[in-house]
Amino acid sequence: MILILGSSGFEQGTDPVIDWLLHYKADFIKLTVEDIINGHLRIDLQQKEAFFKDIPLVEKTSIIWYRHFLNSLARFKVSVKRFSAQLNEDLRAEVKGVFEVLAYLLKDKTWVPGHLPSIQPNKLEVLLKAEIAGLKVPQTHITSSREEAIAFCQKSQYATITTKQISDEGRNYYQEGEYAYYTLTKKLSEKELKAIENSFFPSLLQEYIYPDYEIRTFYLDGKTYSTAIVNNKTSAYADRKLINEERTTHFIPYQLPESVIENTRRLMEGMGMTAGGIDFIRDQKGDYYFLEVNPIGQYLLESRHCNYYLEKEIAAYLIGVDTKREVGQKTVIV
Amino acid sequence: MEADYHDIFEAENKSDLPLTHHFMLRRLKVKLAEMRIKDRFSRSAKHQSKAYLQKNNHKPITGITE
Repeated sequence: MILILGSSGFEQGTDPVIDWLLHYKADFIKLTVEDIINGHLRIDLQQKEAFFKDIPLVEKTSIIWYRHFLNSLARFKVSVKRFSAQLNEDLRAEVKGVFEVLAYLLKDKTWVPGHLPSIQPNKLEVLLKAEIAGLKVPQTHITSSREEAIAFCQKSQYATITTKQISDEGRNYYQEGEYAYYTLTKKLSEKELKAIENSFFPSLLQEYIYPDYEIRTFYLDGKTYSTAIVNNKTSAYADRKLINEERTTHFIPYQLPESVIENTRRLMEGMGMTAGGIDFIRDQKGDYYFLEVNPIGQYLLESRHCNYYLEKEIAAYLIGVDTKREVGQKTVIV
Repeated sequence: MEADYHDIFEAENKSDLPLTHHFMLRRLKVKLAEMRIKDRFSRSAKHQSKAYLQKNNHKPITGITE
């Protein structure tokens, strides 16, 4: 059985795969945080078993697909008149504890994108590992000093740096009325840095790599599916999410050099990751820079533009591991 | 999309914030795919989902509920 650790509402990367699992009549269930909160999960430590509506998960499950399971925990709230903040923090910790023991009981199963520690890897640790795997990475600093940031900017090859969040765990939307506020990678010039305070909260800074184009690679069990995101604007951008919807942006199926694919494979296998969305920049000299890997990254945009049908590939992979049978265009399960 | 940066925190708190939070992007919630939590398409009791939702219309689902 395939166990999807997902969310109870719509999730753009989960639902299209579920479509294919339904189409193939795959044996799967989706477990959500709400299922735990509503008491549908029962754990018997003596039996080393977790029951979801009487389905023994340890016995039945062969592969687990983790997809934003814990995200909805932040929205969980019990309404009480007193001590609400502390109570809800405690209850969320309890739910997380239940999830951790469930993950422990299922530790010997195949996990996609990987076992718990690799689901949200530390960005900087990944950069170090990418370099060891043979990939080129941008110069990276963490600092809270304006002077250090300016010095770093002056030394950078395009006299520009970028800043982005160190952890994606806390990355969220700040909602007010009909608007949401959020952060993406931001380019910073020396002029902008001179306008900020002397010190700030510790921030991640990277040298800016002037892109010829960006490449988004979806990695699944050793296979890579790459998309070049080409924009013929003259002014360079800092985050490709800013240009995704522009008419001048084109998504093109792309073949990474074999050496980059090989190094990527080495990195992913070294980290125990079976899947992930990987961002590269190809600079104007033709060098490929590894930026980051998002194990639970979105893939549908590139999949649609390049006809990769990644949602079908993911479903086929999950079923393949579960049933030891190949599914796809050649073999159709009836 | 033109980057629409806003200061959403008070000026006196700037030194307590990481640089990312000095430049917050603003967008209408309806334009953000992650925030589209509507368009109920079907329910699937069989697959233990409290509210199975489907936004994309590329593969309609029929006959999946028990």
